[in-house]
Amino acid sequence: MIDDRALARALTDAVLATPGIVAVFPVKPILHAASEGIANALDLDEPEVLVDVDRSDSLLTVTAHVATTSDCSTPEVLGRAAEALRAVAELEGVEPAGSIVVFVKARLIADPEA
Amino acid sequence: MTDPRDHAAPPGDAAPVEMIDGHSVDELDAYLAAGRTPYDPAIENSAACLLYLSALARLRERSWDALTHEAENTPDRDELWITGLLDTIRDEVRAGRDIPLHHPDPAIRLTLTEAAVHGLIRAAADALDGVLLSRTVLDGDITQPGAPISLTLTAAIEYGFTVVDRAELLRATVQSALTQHTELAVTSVDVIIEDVYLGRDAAAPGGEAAS
Repeated sequence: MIDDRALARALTDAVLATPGIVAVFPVKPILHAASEGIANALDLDEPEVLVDVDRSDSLLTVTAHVATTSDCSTPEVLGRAAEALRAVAELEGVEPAGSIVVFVKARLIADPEA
Repeated sequence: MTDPRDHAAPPGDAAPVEMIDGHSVDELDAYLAAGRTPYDPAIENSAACLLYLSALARLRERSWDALTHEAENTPDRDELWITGLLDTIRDEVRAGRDIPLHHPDPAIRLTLTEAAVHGLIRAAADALDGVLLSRTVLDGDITQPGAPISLTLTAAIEYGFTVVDRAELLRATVQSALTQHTELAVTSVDVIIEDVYLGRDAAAPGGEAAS
């Protein structure tokens, strides 16, 4: 089974490829993570890994914080992003599919012309 | 939820410096003035910083000259107004409450932050000529789907524009943006015009309203 670092990387790529998503923000702010001494565990030296993956018991939780573009409906974009994240997790062999929970939060709705 | 990094207390008795994701407003102001160079990943990867920078950039582009010119003429009143506006923007960009969005699959949870909604409203208002939004109040439990929400927009209007016309346009524009990007059950949108400011041309020396 794919390790969490590789899974997070694949999930980050998937959410960035979703139409209407213009940015992905780190779920765990870097300053907080560093102060908690877990920067290495979160792989913060790889800025391209932004989606958070957490396993507890048999549940996989995927969390992404994103920016959407204001010329697309934010609820629709977030729904597509969440479905893309789940599809990648399933593709990467996370079983069973029902054990995956996906959180997607829009933190910024950006003007496409800005 | 309050981010502890937003209230960094300097040594001594000085007032606490209000921070945005670990950055002071002065630092963000200088970064914007420098053309966002050299690229600072800590700022550019912060949603709060980006919201602040975009609001400040629009403010500078559209109305800063006029506002600062007015402030030179009536410093007590207008400097206070500008300071209040910047403080409001700083407060708005902090994430705030999470606003839920519906998805038919219970294993998918979608939200947007209160800060994102404030940023959306401010961007929509800033796109209108003759309107300068000062603050927005979302009244109601925005964390509960379907809860009735009343919205109050307080703004200044540029001299020469019709108050009723600008107020109606502001109301319609913001309501449209909220309908497109949120599922908030907005039951009312009240617009308060609290001030009039001189436009860039009128505020310039020799301009229409300069005398």
